[in-house]
Amino acid sequence: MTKMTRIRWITPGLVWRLLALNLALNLALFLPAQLGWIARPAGALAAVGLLGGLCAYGLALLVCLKIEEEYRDAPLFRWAWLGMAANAAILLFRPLAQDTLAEVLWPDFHASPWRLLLRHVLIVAGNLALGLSLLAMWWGYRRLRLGFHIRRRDYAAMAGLLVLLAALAGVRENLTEAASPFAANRVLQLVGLALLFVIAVAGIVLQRIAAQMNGGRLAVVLRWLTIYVLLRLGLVVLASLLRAAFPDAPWASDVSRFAWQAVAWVFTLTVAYQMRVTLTAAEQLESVRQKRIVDKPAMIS
Amino acid sequence: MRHEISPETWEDYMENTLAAAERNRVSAHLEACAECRAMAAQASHSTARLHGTARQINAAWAVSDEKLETAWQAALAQLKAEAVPVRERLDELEATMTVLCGAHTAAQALQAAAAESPARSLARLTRENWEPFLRSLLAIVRALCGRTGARLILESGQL
Repeated sequence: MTKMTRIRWITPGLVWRLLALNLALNLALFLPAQLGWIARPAGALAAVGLLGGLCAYGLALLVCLKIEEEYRDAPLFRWAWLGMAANAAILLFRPLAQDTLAEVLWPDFHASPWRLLLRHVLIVAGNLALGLSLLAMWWGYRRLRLGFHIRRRDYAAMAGLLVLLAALAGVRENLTEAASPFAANRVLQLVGLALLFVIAVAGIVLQRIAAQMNGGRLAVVLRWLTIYVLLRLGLVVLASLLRAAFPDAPWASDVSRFAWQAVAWVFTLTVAYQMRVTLTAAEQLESVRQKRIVDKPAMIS
Repeated sequence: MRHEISPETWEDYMENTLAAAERNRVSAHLEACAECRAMAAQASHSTARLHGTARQINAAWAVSDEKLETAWQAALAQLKAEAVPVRERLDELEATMTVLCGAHTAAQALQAAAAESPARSLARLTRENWEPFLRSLLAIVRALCGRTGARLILESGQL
């Protein structure tokens, strides 16, 4: 029995159900308020967001640390999963820097200039950990020399992402921190954005590797990892567009917040699929051992 | 690639009894086709072993053609018995790895492991050079699927 089997209850099916529950709770609070039946339940929405995030990234952290143990003999992949664990650990603390529930721990936190600085430090640190882990993973696949190669259309997608980054940087007055009196906040937001693009580029490479694998449990993991990183970038772009189009609409920030909660569960889903790789291998190993026990008496007789 | 070489032509080629034009055609194909080259190398290795066995028997005893034929058949059967578990085990390993990391990755990993081992290619794998091949494969699987995946390959890969 591997150590992984102790957390085998964290299945992709369970994660899908928790994601659905999280979104259903949000909608149950959001829709009646939108329809004017009740006042906007800001505290309850924040509580659901905080608990959902803690639960999603907490489970992901637990699984990442077990996966890291699996890759102790393959340094690059081990660092990749340590990076994922660091990303999950950092994102566990992120809601504290943006939710009104943080006021319970720190009175007047919402008005404090440290709130946004802390938020951007966490974003940059999380993106850095994720970016480094994806680069380690890509380098690990490259070193194996199993015929994975980037195609012309991948370079085109990367170029498209660069154009998008340049466009966002060009209209950076739409960024939330554009008018911040703190230079650190302005710089950190731009650095976080640039890292997000680097991560998305790495996601494109991993998607190509997944396609070239031609099936298998590992390809599913790489595909979900790509979805996770591209969703993150997509949401940043979408949130900027929504902010520009509907500057005074509270629903726009609610929708963006729900989407970010779903993204947290997508990360948990990714690591749950990776755990399934190990569990499948463990099941096959058990079956090989059983077959050997059955075959042995036959060979003797 | 189309091979268009019949088993009889192969046999004559290996026995060096093929007409010059036909022999040149087969040689040209071998230069272009890695798969046939590997197969020719394997066949050449087996033929050399069979000839070696015949020479040993001849040198040790003055034997009748009948006895020589029996010894020849025994050596042939041994060669076949050696090759079958290797092929079967390779197929099993490929099927096992396909579930975990896909058909392309499984095939590429087996080829890469063979290329790094003394066998140099999958076609030349025998019982004798199986262990170093398996060790190379384990290093690849450890990186792809982790320790449990490597343990699975180690236990499934025993001949």
